[in-house]
Amino acid sequence: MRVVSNAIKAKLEADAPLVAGAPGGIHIRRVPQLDRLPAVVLAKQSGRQSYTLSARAYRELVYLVKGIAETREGAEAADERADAVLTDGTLTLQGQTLMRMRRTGDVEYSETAKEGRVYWHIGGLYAVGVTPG
Amino acid sequence: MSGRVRVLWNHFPRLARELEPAGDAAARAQAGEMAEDIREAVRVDTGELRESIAVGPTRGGYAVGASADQALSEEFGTSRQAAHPTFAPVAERARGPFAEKVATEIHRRFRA
Repeated sequence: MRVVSNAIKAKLEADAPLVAGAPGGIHIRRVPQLDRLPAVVLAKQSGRQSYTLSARAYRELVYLVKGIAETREGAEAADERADAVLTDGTLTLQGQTLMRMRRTGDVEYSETAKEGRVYWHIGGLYAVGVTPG
Repeated sequence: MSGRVRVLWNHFPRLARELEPAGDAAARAQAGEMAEDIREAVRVDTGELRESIAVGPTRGGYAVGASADQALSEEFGTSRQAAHPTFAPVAERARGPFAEKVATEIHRRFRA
């Protein structure tokens, strides 16, 4: 589902407040460098296909979109802005149509890295339904 | 034209009695299968995460969870590591079979 991942990334990158609040950028799967935070990471968590008798009807995908920051506030702000952009938002998809995109759950945890730094991960799970055409 | 229908007997009272225990049995069985699927799918280093996966009762159902510290970072990633989700795909796959399990359990109880 690279098409959907890229479309979500493009959607987030087009939002000026989010880009300003996340100078580390918006990335698929993981942040390449941690020297500029907050950053936003999105990752496909699961996907389910539904078929009619002879064709693919639609796909139900679940995406994780989270802010990563060294402060809770930084990660939270990125998460809130991403939620505002994505929930019930639109996506430009090549060869597919977005049926709906909604936040369905929250994710929040902190991590203490080996060097002792604490990173906050705050985000949400988004149900994304797409259909061919 | 008009008419009246009088119901002399139906299964509704029994269905009402059986619905909750049938749903409970189906949910317990489904949660057990999901826990097993997650144990098989999860990445194993020391085995701590796999061993910590368990089923527990919640208000009105059952939950599959893991008590190991690395459960969240495996499922959702860390600052340096991408997410390796196992709970979400298993839960997604279980949605269809769960509805079938409830129906099967109700049928089984009515045949008994």
